[in-house]
Amino acid sequence: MPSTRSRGRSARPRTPSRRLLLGAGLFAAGTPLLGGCFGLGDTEGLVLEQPGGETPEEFAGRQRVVIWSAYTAHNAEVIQANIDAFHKAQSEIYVEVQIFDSYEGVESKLSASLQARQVPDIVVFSDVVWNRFYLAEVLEPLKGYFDDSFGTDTYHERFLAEGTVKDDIWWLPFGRSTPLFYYNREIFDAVGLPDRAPETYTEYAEWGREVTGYEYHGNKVAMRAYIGGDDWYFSGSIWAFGGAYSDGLDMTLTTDESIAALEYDRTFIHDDGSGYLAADATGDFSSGACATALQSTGSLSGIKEAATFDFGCGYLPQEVGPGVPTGGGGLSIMKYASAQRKQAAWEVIKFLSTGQASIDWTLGSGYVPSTKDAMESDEIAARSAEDPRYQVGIDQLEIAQGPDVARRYVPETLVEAKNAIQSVYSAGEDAEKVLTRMEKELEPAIDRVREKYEQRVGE
Amino acid sequence: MSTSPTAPERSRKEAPTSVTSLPPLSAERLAARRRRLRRGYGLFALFAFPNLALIAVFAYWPIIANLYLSLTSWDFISPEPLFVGLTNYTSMLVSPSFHKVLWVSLVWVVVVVGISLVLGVLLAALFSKKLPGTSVATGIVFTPHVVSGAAIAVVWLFIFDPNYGLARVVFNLVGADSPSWTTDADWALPALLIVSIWKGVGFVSIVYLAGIQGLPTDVLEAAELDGANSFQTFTRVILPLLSPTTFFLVITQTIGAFQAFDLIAVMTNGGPASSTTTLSWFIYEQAFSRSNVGLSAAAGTVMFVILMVITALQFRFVEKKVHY
Repeated sequence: MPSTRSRGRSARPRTPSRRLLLGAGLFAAGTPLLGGCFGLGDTEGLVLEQPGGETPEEFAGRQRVVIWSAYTAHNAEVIQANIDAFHKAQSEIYVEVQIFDSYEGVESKLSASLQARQVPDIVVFSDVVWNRFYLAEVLEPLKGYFDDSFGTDTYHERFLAEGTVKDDIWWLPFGRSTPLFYYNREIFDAVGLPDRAPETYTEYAEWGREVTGYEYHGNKVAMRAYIGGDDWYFSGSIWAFGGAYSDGLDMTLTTDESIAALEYDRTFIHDDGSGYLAADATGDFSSGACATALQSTGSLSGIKEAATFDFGCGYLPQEVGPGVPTGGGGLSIMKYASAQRKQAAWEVIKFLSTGQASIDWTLGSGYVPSTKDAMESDEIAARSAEDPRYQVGIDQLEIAQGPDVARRYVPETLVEAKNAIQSVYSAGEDAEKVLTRMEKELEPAIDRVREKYEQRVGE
Repeated sequence: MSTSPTAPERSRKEAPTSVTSLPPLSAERLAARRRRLRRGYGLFALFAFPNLALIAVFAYWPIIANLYLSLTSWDFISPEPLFVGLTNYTSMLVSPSFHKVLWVSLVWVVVVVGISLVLGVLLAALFSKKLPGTSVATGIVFTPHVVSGAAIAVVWLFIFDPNYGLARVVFNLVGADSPSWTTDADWALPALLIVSIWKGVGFVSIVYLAGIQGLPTDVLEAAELDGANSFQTFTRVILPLLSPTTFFLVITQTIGAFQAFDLIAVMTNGGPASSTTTLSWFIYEQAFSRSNVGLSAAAGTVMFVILMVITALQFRFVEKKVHY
């Protein structure tokens, strides 16, 4: 009797069915239970497990320390060589390095593992990732671990300061870098450009117009291969033009100076035709497809191996001032490991950051020296004497600076910035429109971290 | 439709008379019946529990947990999620960038499913002719389907490289420059679509081939006797008879296309400028790049609803045209 039922329903005011009420009641009752399934909850006295793995028989009985590392390929081999040396140098600790494909890989795995209530002992974080783990209070404060045999003066002051918040140290410098200006000397010579990096971005653009279209090994070259998957380089050029991502948590992307920085790139690529968004900028430079590239100091050894031409390295161009960001990775210890594990992790860090291990790491990885032992070592001085391009990055540190607050503490900033620069580099969108959109998109993200930021970092 | 009552209805209607006509059950017989029932239920529970437990843990629990997380603001590492009601849904559904994501997803699904099905059925028709070399050709076409998406993506990245990729050679032959396939906002989506279709068409063609080989030969012979040419036989006999296969493929390919991830992750990371950000990539990016678990979960729920609706619509309207 469908029609009767229908009339009956319409005659009465609509009331929720028993099934609906039951479902809603169950969901409401279950919400606190569901909430309890996520997050660490009460962290008082919390000790999380160590990720799984086996200790080799030869190291049985030692305290196991797990490092989650973002260093792959050759750099992973250099770290492992140092760890092997550590195993020989003492008999209490065994270290297992678990390798991830990138800083992002470590970050997402760590986020997930915290839910699984497991943490490694040492984590390699990038300079723009460790901060959010600091805000979440899952990093161990490290100042108290230093002593007379291993003091804070072990590290480069500028780098150590980046990992210091509220008078404690949370992230120690390890594989640190800055971008360099790489240029193909053969192309510069053929076009009649001087054997140096351009001093300003204006000069860079002028040179770009001279280089673009030059035929090199059968290919027409562009001046610069832009990188779109990382806003690190733009975070430096925006400073060079007098702008910034943010002042504290107040966004400054739409100031004239910030807009001028991105507009410069748009003109360089789309008006002058001097640049393009590359899938592999390092590969393009190494193969001679472009005349210049802004690349990390960490890429120097790789480019030396791959390039079949002579190339030079210089400081990044300036405009109204310098714009050199620091980057790379550092080490943190996880707070919710046991005290024994944390102390063992500290011993590992101490070994990697001092003496020959620190020197070998700097020489092997190509990162700039971040410890005093490496900075003052004869081997590194000899390498710089032999190939002065390695010294450029070290010297440039004098004008380098750490990331803006928004890049450090608001994870969405990196994604939005990547979208913004790609919109300009690839699609040629108007810089002001893009940065205005980026600033707007970031508003809710900034609101989400503001309270925690003010509480944990403050102004 | 029969109007006669079904067996249970009959027994319910006859119950009053039959109860009065039967002698009352003794206490022992009632207890024995209860024991038998309990044993039956116990056995049922024993067999059903492992499956139910697996489904509950790996299917229903994630759906419920996702639904809960979509109502929260959380970054994965804070001590606990903050309940924010429907904020994630409202902010997402009015966001122009999310509208773009839905549009890209729609284009992706329609193009991948549409072209895969058309190419797949044509290839299957070709393979069904059993020409020399068909077995080898079938293997070649099917191989990309079983190869890891990441490996395929790396190979195609090389092919698409505008400076030294194979595509450049082809374009140079006609005096043109290769486009910047994966770094040009206008070309990145077509590049991914080409790879996705290339990877998936082998599976579609094999399923269609199995369908064609299972068709009744008498119908095809009748068409031939009636003077139908190859094209008419294909369009008016084979394709309609393949409708169950098409129905199956449309559903599975649509669901698969919505979940596309590996090619995007390796080749474009959703870029440039979000031009290849589909719903599945958006969900990943919100959770793991932006640490915005609530919004990611809300997008996951939207995807779940979209797939449910599409599947329901297909069952409601498309299945009627399927000839079993």
